Amino acid sequence: MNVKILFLLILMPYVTASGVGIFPLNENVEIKPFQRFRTNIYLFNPSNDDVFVYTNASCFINGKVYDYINFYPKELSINKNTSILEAKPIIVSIQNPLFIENNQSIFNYNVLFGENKLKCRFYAKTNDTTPIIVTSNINVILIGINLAKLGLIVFTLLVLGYFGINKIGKKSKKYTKNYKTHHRHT
Amino acid sequence: MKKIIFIFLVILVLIKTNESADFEMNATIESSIHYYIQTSSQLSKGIFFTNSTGAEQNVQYNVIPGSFNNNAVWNYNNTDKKTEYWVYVYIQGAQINVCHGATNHLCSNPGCIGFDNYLININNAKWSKSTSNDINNPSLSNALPFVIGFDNQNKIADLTNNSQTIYFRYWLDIPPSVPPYIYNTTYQIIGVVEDEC
Repeated sequence: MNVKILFLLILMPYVTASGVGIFPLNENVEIKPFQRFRTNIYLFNPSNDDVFVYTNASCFINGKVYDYINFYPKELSINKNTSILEAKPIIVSIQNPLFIENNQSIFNYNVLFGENKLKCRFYAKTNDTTPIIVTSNINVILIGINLAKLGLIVFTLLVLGYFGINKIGKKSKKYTKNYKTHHRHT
Repeated sequence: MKKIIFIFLVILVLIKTNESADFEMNATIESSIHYYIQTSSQLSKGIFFTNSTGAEQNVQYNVIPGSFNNNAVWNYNNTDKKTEYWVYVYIQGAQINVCHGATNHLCSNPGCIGFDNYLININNAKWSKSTSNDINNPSLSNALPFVIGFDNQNKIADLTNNSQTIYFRYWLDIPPSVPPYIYNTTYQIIGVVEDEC
């Protein structure tokens, strides 16, 4: 008789205990065209062991990924027993280029109009077997082209243009009249 | 004279409408608002499922196909019958959601890829939580199945501003037809501010 016994081993490898903290948790910011917003997000480690942390950040505008966010460093080690006063900074930068690259459009760019809500989230993840992820939100209003202002400028330019043409026209008429008068006398 | 006044007004309007070129920005940061998450030593080491003997001795042994409610090694510490799996959440001045979940099913290959990969559906793994820790709590009767990703329906802490310790126990059912391999997944814990995980 041949007997086969099947064994299973469900395994997750060994790491040390850890903890990670974060602040600020919520920032509200307005970014005007062609401007860059820079802020610091701080991480600390209240646990009894040093932790190694990977950072990440993502933004969404109208449900689509917004790529104009950067952060540094991408990974770091945080010493054990650090309080919020000894926290390590992560530099986060968000840009408003006004013309947003979009491969779906014919011109490859979308122009921002009015105010656009951008939701960004920063992540810090420990490299443990059971990772802890702490997050911080950055709520952004991206200012685009103001249609009312644009309309006013266009209207003003049109008015100026009209007056300018009228003035040239009047000058031209005056010149023709003078020319005719002058030639009549001569 | 009227024309000069008109042109002056137009210039004034243009200057006024050109305000968007000014490079101004501001942000309000309240540095006293923060939170941190700590995991117990045994939880950060990982969740190892074992058979009934292993559960009593806090040692990992192989589990067999067709077995139910296999305990995680430290579900019941053999000295006091308390669980050694806990998460401590410290919150100051904010409301936090804390969620957990597995990134994948339990797979024999890393990342669950390859034609030779075998998997155990993650809903065979169950978890239970409690703010008290004794032989009856957290209890198997309250256990919920895991889902892939963070479970927003069953959070560890739901929009809380109270610092607290939450205790856990974990169990795993092994379907009868599962071949013998080492099966892995990544279990993770996330804290988010006033939002879904």
